[in-house]
Amino acid sequence: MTFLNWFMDPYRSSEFMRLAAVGAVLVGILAPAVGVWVLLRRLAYLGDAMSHATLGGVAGAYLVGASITLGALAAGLVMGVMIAVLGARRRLAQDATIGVAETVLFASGVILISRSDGVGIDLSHYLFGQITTVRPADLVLNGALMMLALGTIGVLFRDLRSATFDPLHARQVGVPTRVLDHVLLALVSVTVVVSLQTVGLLMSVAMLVTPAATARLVTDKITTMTAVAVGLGVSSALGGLTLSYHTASPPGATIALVAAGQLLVAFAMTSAWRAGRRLGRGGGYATGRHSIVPDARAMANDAPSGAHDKPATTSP
Amino acid sequence: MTTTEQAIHVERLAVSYGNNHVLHDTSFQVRRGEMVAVIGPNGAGKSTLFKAVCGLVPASGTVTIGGVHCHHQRDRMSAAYIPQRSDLDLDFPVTVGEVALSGRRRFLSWWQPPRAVDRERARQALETVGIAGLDDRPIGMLSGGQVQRVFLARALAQEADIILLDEALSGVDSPSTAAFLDLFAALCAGGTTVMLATHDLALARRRFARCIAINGTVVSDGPPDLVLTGASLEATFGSR
Repeated sequence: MTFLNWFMDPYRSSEFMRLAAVGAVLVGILAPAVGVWVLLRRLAYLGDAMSHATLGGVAGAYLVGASITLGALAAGLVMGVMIAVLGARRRLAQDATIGVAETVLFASGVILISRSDGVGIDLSHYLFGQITTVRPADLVLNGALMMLALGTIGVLFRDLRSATFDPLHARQVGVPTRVLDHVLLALVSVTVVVSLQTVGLLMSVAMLVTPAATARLVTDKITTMTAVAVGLGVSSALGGLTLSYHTASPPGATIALVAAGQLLVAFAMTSAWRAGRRLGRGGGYATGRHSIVPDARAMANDAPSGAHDKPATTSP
Repeated sequence: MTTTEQAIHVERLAVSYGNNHVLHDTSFQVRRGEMVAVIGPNGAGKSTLFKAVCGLVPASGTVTIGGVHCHHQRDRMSAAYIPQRSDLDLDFPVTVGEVALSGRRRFLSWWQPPRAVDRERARQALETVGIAGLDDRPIGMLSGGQVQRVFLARALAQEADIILLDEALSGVDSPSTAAFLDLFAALCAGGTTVMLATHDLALARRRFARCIAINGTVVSDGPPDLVLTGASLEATFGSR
């Protein structure tokens, strides 16, 4: 069997796999596009916590017969409010407030589900996804949410970049940094909602963080980083789904591992490239991703860099 | 000093972080085109003073910029605060051109992409600070002096009348430092006000006509010969 046949086989034979593939692509596009900002703002833990917290909203919505999507979004909103209220106390660090808000909502979800005997709600469906039960109506809703989120990122792109790099300067020139913080929370919440059926709550953070992290290893501009992350996201989502079909493994977990595999490959390749550059330079060394040795063009524009602090010549 | 000559007027400014009173009863005025060195020990409140002038930390007292009493953040958009390099993640994936262009946000709405005039002003600003042609370079690949030039270009693109530089010249070698000071002098001659927080007292003595020594408040203010003398320095750098 050729690779193409191997890859296409599941989708030729079954309608639910075709629907699942569309769901996976939606997640593969949206989660990495949002994940780029999650990564650059060092909010990976928030993404993880937000995904867990969603369980409370999902379970609540299921029990009262409301829309699961609305329930999940409501959980994100409650989480955001809890973080903001608790975080107003200077003594409580942000990771602590996130941890508390997350467990309150997750625990509420677990208890609600345990009380739901006979309703037919299965905890594992939400934790690990149920990609093969995706309906066309879900895809339309998720597609609309994805377009809304991507449009938001597109319009706010420059402000997000300024506010993430230098928030003080951004505020000074009129960027509403507080509003952007809330917008980002909402984007993470929407991403978890779209990921719910495909990869499940527990694995949604994998699509949020891993493709963006892989892209960060190989790019130096946020636009290219986003494009690369989305490419990796779509390929790991589809690759993982196909692999899960052939190996009879859970789709969400398989997708998460394929994304992690991409990161390992990029890590190995960039490590080899850096080692090659070190050898080529004859013993020079690099810090972080960039050489501290300025190249000729940089030298021409600036006197040789003094990386050390110049001491004050007069001391008090 | 008439209000038209006045760039910054700070009156009874006080800033506290929780129980930590960083600045109290701080008052001074700076004229348009003046070049002022702000000296003081670590923790004296130099950064906080600049941030308070720019409205970036909660403060009491009054700040007037260009004769306008600052009630809203937009009243302060003609001031630019250039942070210490160590305050920012210089590995952030942003290019020289993108940083310079971000200064133009002052003239745009949240939904509005930069116009041709904005790109042109950002390009001119990079040219003025001597790093034209590096637009596409990630800031992580620049030398310390070049990074400061990028931030200065951002302030110029912002068309700031007041530029507040926080330890901008630490870690910059002496030829670059001299070039920066020439640039500041040229900007001041054109009516821009420059304040530089520095630890380098020799530099302050050599290149600045006015020094403000602070340690929780203004300790002394005047020409270097007055401020950078034994008794005044003792008062500034002695224990609070």
